[in-house]
Amino acid sequence: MNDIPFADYLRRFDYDERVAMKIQLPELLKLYAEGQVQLIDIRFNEEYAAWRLGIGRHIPLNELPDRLDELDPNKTIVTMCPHYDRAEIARLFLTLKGFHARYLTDGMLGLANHLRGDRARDYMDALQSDTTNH
Amino acid sequence: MTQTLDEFAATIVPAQMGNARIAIDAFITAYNKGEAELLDIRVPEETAVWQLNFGLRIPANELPARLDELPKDKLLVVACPLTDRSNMARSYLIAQGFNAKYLQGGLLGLVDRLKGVGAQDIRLDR
Repeated sequence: MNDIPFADYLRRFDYDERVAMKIQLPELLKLYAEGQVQLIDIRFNEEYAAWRLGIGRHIPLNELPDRLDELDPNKTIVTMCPHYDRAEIARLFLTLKGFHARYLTDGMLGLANHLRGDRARDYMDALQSDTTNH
Repeated sequence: MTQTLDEFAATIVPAQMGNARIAIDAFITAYNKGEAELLDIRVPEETAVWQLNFGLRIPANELPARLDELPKDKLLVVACPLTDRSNMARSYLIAQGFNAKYLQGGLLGLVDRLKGVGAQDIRLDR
């Protein structure tokens, strides 16, 4: 994949890119269930040790430059952290590395808040019944 | 020290509510000292979405059959995403003779507290 010079990316940055670089929970959950997304938790190791998602992969932000081979260039890479500030750094880095990357605006805290109770049951049941994509 | 539900009901007054719940920082301090255990009472589909890497995991509806897994010598801090289910489960455990409080702010408050450098405040090697 070809790197994109940062300056070129900035020159091209427009209203469309401002929207395209983000993803919200409903679209993420749909695309993930369809197997179109690779989810990356980019928090520090200590944060991952305290709690983790049952879906996606953990690659700390500072290890991302050396672990690009773990990413699937055929999928949309969705980066996430507790809120979204570090996820956006990761998203920008991956974009400049030539990946199709977006960051989860709702963050991992938003995901944990969204997928509770019956919504967690329904979504995880749906994933279970369609394991072909995972 | 089993408390009947009638006795428990008599304690539901404003002055006693501080004993029913514990704040997140107070929980972390007690947990790190080994004086408290966390009890995540969410259903399995919820713990499949995300898991804490410490504490006990027993769904609320399995508690009656699994009371023997709970420590008697520690404060049990009962937690669900917010506080509705944990408050009910805590009431049940009190009626079964356990020392229990529910986690104020819930699991969502706890993982918010454990973000960034805050994650290092919980002693996972306790």
